[in-house]
Amino acid sequence: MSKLYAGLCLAAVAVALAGCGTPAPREQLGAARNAVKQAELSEAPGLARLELRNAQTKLAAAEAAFRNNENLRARLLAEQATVDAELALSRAEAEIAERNAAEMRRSVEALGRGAATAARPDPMPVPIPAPIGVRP
Amino acid sequence: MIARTAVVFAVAAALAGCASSESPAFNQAAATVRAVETRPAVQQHAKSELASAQLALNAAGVAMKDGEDAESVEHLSYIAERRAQIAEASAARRQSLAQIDALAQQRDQILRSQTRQEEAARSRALGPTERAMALGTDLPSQRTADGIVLTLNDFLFERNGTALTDVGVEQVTRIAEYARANPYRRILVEGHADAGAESLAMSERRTAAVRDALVAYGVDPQRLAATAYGAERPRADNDTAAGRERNRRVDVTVVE
Repeated sequence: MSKLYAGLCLAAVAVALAGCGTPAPREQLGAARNAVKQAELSEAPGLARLELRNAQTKLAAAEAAFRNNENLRARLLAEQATVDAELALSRAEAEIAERNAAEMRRSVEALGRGAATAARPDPMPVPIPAPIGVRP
Repeated sequence: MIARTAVVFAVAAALAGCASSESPAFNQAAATVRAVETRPAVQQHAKSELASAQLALNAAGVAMKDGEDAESVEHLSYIAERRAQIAEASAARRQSLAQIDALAQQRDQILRSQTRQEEAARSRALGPTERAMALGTDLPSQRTADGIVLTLNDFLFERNGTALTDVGVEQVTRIAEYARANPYRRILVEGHADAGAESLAMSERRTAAVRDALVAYGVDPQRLAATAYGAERPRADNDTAAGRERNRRVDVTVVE
């Protein structure tokens, strides 16, 4: 009786350590794949390269863990890959918005300068200074 | 008995992991979330992203207090920190987008005042007949071989639409008054658009809007000829916003 109990307990330890008790993280893996794909299709490959590479590495590790039946590890890695990919996408989008805003600022400034010079048609003629050091 | 206790202890240890109350990963995540949540831009533009970060940090804190293993505390802290960084990036993005909106309004205002200045300059340059004609309306006018051309510019139509604005309708009623006072003159309505998509349809609808308004204010439809040219006859460069705005117009010619 006591032997059986001890055996059960050992089995419990093994299960707790291996994480085999956790269900397969299909949903988390799916979310990670989607998030990484979305980031890859955005401007992130150019504008948030490190963040995206982080996400891709984590997703690959999650897939590998999943194939080895390490479900707990696969779930954690998949969840981390998801936020890494979301960060890559957010940073790339922020960078694009900032570039567009800068472009817009430049064009409005140029337009404003044009309007100002158009309103003042004839600027004062600038007198040409006499050359220095030349005697008449 | 001793063996049994040892086994139970091993189970507890395996389930709990090393239940440290101090986790560097948690401390770092907490510092990042705190720093991000004080930023006004984040509070204004990324409320829901910030809430996700705070929730994730809370989950990490609970896991730590409950003595869960270091790996899961570290994991939840990692998520919290990334969520905070996402909130920061989203706030920056929305701030830029708001700036773009404000700048677009500013640009439209400048373009409109430029158009007005051009029109004022042109009406000053008119001869006596044209000036008398132009006085009836506030529209820029020009003498051509056909007669006097009055131009209804883009801003007299609804933005990106085809209906006349109230000011536009008022100008058209004055043309109609002039036309009724001079019943033997033919009126040409000619619509133009920029080189964008659906330019022909756009110019057709605006031409129809002006023709219908003239008819509504008592001009005999038999004296009217309406033609839409789409982008065929630009009067400015289609590469700039200002040029495209100048190209979107309806010319009304009073034939002499």
